[in-house]
Amino acid sequence: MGWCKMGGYIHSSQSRHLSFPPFPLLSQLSITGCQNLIHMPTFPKLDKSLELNVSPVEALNATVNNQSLSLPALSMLKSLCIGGHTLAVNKIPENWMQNLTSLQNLQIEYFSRLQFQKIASWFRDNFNSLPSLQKITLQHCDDLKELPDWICNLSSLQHVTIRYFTHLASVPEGLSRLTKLQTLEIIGCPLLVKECEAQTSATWRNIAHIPNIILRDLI
Amino acid sequence: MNEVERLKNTVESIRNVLLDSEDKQEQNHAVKNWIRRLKDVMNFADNLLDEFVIEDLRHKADARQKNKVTKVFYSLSPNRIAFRYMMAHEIEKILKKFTDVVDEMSKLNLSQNIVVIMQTDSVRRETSSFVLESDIIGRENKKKEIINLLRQPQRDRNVSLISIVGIGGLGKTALAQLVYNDKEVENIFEKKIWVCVSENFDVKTILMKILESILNRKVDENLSLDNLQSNLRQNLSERKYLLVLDDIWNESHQKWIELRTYLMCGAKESKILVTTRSKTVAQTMGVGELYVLNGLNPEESWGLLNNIITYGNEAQGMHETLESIGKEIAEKCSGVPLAIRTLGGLLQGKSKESEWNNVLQGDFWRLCQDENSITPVLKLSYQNLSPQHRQCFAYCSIYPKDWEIEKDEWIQLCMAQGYLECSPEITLIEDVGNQFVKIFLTKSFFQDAKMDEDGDIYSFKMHDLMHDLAMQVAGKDCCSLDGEANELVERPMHVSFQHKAIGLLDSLDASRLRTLVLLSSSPGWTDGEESSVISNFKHLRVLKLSDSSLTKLSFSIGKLKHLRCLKLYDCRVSIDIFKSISKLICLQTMKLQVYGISPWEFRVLLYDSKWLSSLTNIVEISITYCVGLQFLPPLERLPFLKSLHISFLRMLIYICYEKPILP
Repeated sequence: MGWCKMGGYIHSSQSRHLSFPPFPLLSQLSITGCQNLIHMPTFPKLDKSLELNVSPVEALNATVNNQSLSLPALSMLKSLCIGGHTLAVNKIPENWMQNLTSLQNLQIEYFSRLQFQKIASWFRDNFNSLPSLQKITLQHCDDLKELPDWICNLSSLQHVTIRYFTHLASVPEGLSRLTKLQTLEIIGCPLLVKECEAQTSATWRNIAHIPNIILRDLI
Repeated sequence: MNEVERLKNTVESIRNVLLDSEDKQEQNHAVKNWIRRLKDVMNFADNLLDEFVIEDLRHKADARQKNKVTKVFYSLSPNRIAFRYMMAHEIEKILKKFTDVVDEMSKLNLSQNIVVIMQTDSVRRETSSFVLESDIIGRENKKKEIINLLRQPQRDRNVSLISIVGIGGLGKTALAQLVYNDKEVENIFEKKIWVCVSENFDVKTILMKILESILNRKVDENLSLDNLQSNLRQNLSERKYLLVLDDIWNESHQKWIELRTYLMCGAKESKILVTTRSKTVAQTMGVGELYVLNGLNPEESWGLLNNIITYGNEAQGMHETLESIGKEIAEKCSGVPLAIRTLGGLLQGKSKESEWNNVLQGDFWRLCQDENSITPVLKLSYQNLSPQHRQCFAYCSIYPKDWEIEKDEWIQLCMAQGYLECSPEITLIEDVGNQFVKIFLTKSFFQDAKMDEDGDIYSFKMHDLMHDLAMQVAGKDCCSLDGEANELVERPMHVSFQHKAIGLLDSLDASRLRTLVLLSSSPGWTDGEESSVISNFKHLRVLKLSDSSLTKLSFSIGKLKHLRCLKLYDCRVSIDIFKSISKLICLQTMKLQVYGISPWEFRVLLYDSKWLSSLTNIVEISITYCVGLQFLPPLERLPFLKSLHISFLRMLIYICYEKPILP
């Protein structure tokens, strides 16, 4: 009974989150379409995967803000998927990715152009984090015309997948800086696929160094 | 309680004998019967021991609620004394039964020396890529030959037949798959259809599978033959199609003619590619082109064997004597890839000459010749597995043939049966499961592994010969009811079933049943009343249902107190289900995708904080589409919770914690 009574005074105040206890052993967490979920235990020790889709960011904030741990929060996390037009990216602390040192796989989906602009600050130029990141997948973004530059800062990337960007027509020049990049997959991006197929285009020059390029139309 | 410990030890040691008894079982009918009796007693004992586990969990949960003083008195409470008294009586009965059965053993000359095979092979970390390599050796030319046959113009009929013939394990299906996925073939045909037929050549079922393959979705099971036909016509007429009928056994000309009439609507030069073990089958079908698949040549055979034995690192070299024995072994496999792979798996990590010689000179080769089958090879490899592995392998026979088995689910099921509690050095039980899957893949017991986005194994299949072997070693304990048979054979413990077989559930032996899985893609009960039959299966460890109305069961499911794994997908339930679930304190895996509860009913639930908190053994929770759910009880006190998945709980506001630390 104890816990449900709390409903009355638990509201508001961000700082209150700091007192939320963590899950002891949780390794995998997925929250999708729970638009009202703002109070829950924190999850600093996740190591397998975190998925946060069309849901509030309060619990994530509480987790990354928690300083009282022996290891930085989420420093063991391997796979992260984040997405949804309603996801309040501006509420998440800008530097939150600096502790994600084990992250291998990052997926960003259903973001608007505006959201993409905002998250650029997560991956600034001097950004030195995500040293383990091997694979990034960006998908389902209708109004983005060019791929964000920050991808080129993720120097350990081996695999980039871009899916269902209807208006995307170019890739950033800096892509050639990604020397470890082995595979580029472009699926369901009609304009970009056309660009890439024309082997004289500027786009082609930016990707020509990648050993394995997979182009596919909408399925 | 000393008797409990004693019983536990007895059960453990008998389990080992049982796992080791299959070889003898084959030979002697009396032994077979005796083992059945022993197994029955074992099941009783196992369930009884589980009662203690449950009682213990309950006791701990209660103790947490009460303060220390009452805890002391609790052990003397009337309920508990009654429980102990009752159980003491039960244990006595079972120990007596054991003694009876064991006494009989001496008459059967069964040895008590248990040879427990230690699993020597340490699975390497990089195996997954090794496991997944398509390494289909020496098939490129054969693929081209078949494609040429597919290109050949036809003389008379609209649709012509090509058949790949060869014994089991030769790689017929693999070759057909290579052809099917070939770019060139894609350009030749407008439609491509793949249907696995296997033993049951039922025209309607096949037509349905064809339609499903074309439409890429499930087709209503109740569709009439006429309906199916017109649907097929719509999709196939005047189209040039390629239909692969994989693994045909049918020798009835009649049935084939019937199927063929439905398939004649395609455009000219459509082709049907059939794989079968028997020339007779091919002749029955009036095959135009018979393609007899030959085995690998000696070099290819040795190349494959060497590749498997060394986990893909042939370059590291091999001892000369071993190499020459290895070449002889490879040659004895008559070029059958599955036999070579299986023996390769067997020889992995073995470096003694004598071990290799034993394989080379084994008796099983003669059996292979007699039966014209490689099954004895597979069996040898099976017998070299550890008892724990054998148990898990046999359990796979609850899935139908050619089933794509989801890895995570397989692990959950094995875990629920207690099959994975064996390696003290690995602390996480799912890791044990993952390791088992890798071993089975490297030894070719499993194949066709698929990966997910993160590069982990997602699913796998079994070769049909391996499936046969699993069925054989599981005896009558596992079965998959597809609704074709009208009655049950024996009294299975583990059952998967499809919608058509629902009627058979009444005749299952409720006291034995441990696993009940409604195969995915199959709807269950539409009438909530009828689903209550499940509450009779009191010893279930695994229950998985989909597309069913469980309004009645929602209340009574709490009786299935042994349940470890509960998965309900798209099921209609009543609010009672949450209260019932709180009684299933052994649960390790819970997936709920349920509907039928109104938001105000959920408000009542708010005051029952226990419904999830009492599940102290839970490892995985998944809750989807309980739209009205506003609160989840405290979860951070669940000590083993590893995976939490919540989706589309639109009104969920809190996952609450027990004692807030307020500033």
